Amino acid sequence: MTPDANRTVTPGQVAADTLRIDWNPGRLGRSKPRNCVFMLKRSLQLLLCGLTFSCAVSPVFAGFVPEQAGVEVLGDHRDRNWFWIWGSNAPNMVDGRAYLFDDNGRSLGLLSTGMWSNGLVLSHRRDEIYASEIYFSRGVRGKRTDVVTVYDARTLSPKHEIEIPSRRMSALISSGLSVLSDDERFLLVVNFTPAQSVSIVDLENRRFVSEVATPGCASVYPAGPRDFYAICGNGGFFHLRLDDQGQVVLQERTVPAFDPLQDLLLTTGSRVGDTWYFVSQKNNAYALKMTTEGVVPVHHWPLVSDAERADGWGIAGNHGTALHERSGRLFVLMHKDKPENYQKPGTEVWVFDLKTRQRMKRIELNEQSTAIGVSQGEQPRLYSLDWVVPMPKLFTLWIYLTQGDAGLMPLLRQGINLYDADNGQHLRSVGDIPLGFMNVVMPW
Amino acid sequence: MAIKWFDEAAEIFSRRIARNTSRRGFLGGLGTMMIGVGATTLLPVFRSGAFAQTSPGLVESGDPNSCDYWRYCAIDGFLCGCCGGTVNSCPPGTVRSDITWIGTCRNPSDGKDYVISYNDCCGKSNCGRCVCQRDQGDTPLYRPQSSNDLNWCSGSLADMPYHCSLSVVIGVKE
Repeated sequence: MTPDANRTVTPGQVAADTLRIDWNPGRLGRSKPRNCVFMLKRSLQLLLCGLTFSCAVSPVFAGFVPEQAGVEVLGDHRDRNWFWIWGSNAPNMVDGRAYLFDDNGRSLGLLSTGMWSNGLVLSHRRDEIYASEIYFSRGVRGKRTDVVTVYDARTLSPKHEIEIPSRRMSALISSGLSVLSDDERFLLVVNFTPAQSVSIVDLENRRFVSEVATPGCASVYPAGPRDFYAICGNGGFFHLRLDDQGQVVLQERTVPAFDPLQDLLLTTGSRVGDTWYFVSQKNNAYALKMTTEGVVPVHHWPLVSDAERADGWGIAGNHGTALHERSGRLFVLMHKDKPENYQKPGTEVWVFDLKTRQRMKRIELNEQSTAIGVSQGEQPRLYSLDWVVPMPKLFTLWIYLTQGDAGLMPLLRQGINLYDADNGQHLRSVGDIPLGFMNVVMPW
Repeated sequence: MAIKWFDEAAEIFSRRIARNTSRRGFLGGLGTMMIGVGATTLLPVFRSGAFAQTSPGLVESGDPNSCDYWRYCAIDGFLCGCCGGTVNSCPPGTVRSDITWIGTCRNPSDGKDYVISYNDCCGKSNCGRCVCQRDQGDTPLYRPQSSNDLNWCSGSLADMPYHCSLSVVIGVKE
């Protein structure tokens, strides 16, 4: 065994040694003239070898065209069962987001919508999306600027901004906080400082028009080309009518349409024609006809039977209602829990016929749902935005039994499940939603 | 000279007020002002010294950093005790909101119902720890005085960036 036999040699050292032998042949004891002939032969061999290799592979490289990096542009979204999800994105509220998915659950893009986003307003007449956004010059401090950002619906890029008073309301339930007039000329944004008011924005002329006080009232519901109703604490509505310039030409309070001391309507209304449907904390449905003439209660009915009520069934979720207009069906997210947990996730969707006001179907959901939506096209989809624990059920159960809710809370993630809205059959799941509180799913 | 000028100005000013006002109008204005002053005390506005320190006679049990703690019956947010603050004091560097929503929770230690003020702490990003949602008596946004869905930092000096929520005992239901 030579002294070098025990040396630990790395691959790099081996290569270096090899080079030393090739390029210092004198160490091998050869004479200089013989060495030159050897090198010449070696070079010719290498040259021939290279030429042969080049001939063999040249057809492959001849057709190669380098890739160009690009940016996707969306096609027409209509009748394709695309859908958005959005929410406050807590605990990262500074970085508000809305995600777009196609019918297969493929992610199509994202909009960044400022601090404590109240979501998107989707135009039906223009290829545009509107978002009422809040920004601070130093992230969470500095000068506050509120804007309505107009996004291109195909490029998902901002087209322009309209600055509005820095008073926009931020809340867990975003329904009715930014709404379009029926002709999509004006956008109304609800303010809270805690004084309550509404900012009026002219989308055609890209300008803030004015602010009108709406004391004691909050979420707004359009009811005609220029008419709106804000729901108020006394059970009445605050009627606003705009002229063609966006100036308020009528503001009056309606008589109470419901009794807020007996039963509170949730603000997540759904509309068919001139009738808005609401569900209430005490598990009733209310149909309110809202026209330019006023608000008229049409009827209300219980969502649960006495037996179901006694069994603990009630409304659930953050945005737990949806409506399929053509078939006249109201979808309501439900669960079995204590009445005060009416915003906790739901386990079933109950489907009601708006004509007969009878329940048509119960759809059992795969996961705990915080929001639902229904598409309006052929073969409508029922979308469910869910809370999930992405681990085996047995393991989840073990954590729940040993640590309770507190143990599961840090593990929660969000996902989406798609169902056939007609028969309730589960179609597919979408996972891997980035961490951040999302509580609205909206068909586009 | 200067005094004469002042007298004349005061006279003109007084006569103008006398011409443009009536006794009834003055009394009406005074009445409105007095009602306004009275109504101010009904608003859920923090008044310095009214709370922000633990009530000495209050007997409590349980973990203040657990969502099951009795004071949290109508809370929705991150518990400040998990964020560098306590159940009734905001974390360093944040700003306490003065305007709040109110809940009524039963203290299991004495069986009494207490009025809880859920002041938000503001001016930083979300704490993100110990999230807790309990909706006893929660109302929708159009009845804000007891709505925990609203961002109550909106009324604070730090404006609307929300960090965490306190639960301050401000009264007892006798």
